Amino acid sequence: MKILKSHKQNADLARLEQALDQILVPVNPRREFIEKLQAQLRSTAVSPRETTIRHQESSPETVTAIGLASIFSILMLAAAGFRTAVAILGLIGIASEFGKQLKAKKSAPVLRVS
Amino acid sequence: MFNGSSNRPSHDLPDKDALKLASSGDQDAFGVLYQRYVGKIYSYVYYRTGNHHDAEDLTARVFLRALRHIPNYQDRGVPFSAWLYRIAHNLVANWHRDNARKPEIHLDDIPFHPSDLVLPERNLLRTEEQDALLRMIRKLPSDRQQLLLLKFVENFSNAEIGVIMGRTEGAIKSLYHRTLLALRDQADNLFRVEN
Repeated sequence: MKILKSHKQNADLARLEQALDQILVPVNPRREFIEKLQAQLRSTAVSPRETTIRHQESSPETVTAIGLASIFSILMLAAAGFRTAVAILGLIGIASEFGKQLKAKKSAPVLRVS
Repeated sequence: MFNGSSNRPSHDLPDKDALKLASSGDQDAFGVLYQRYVGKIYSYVYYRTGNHHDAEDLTARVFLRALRHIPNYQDRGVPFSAWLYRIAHNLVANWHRDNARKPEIHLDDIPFHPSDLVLPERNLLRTEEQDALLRMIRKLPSDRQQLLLLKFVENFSNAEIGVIMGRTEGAIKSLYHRTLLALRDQADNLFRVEN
């Protein structure tokens, strides 16, 4: 009985495959579409050679300006870093001074009025 | 294809050689690949979207994207066609996602009339059952639809489909069997209800 059932299932699947083979067939695009897309690809195509040329076209002035801007930004970053370091050291100094004052207050002799 | 050089790559140039030339900037070689695959990609996208307009739009996007990225193409042993089908698959997935966000256009409402197209003669006599089967295919999960299209429309082997879908041949075989069973069950239910 099981064999018969499995045989029927296989026959069903074979029929289904046959139906799929009949309906799923290649679909051709319109000729005008193929030609139009071909033209579009032609107009958007940029070869690697052209890209290289564009890189070489950077003028010496541009390179100098980029270099100066880089140096300037590095200096600004260094200055900002230095200022931050000074501020932190100042805060540490204040905190330590405050601590010393507190210590001194605690150890000072207390006058008792009898 | 793209420039007027007399030393054009031949149309029977193998994919690998055409790809090598195309990735080094030879636009004629890309033209050879375009001519070779435009029909296949269109066919695939058409069945996934169900209409001409979007099939043309997405096919154009596939080739424009391929053209843009071909200089960076690295041969990892995967056929060029697999790369194209992956681009197509991703664009179709985005298209479905975008359409799902627009509630007024339900996917099932998009007309699906392959008989309007230039099809082989045998397909002109489409039965209601075949139309129902097509609708069922369009309701399958994306990977199953892709599998059926690659198998029947493009006639790829399980191994080739595995390369395109990034799965093993065994996994494809198993997915195919499960897809057939699911379709058969759906068909059984459909025709039982109709009868």
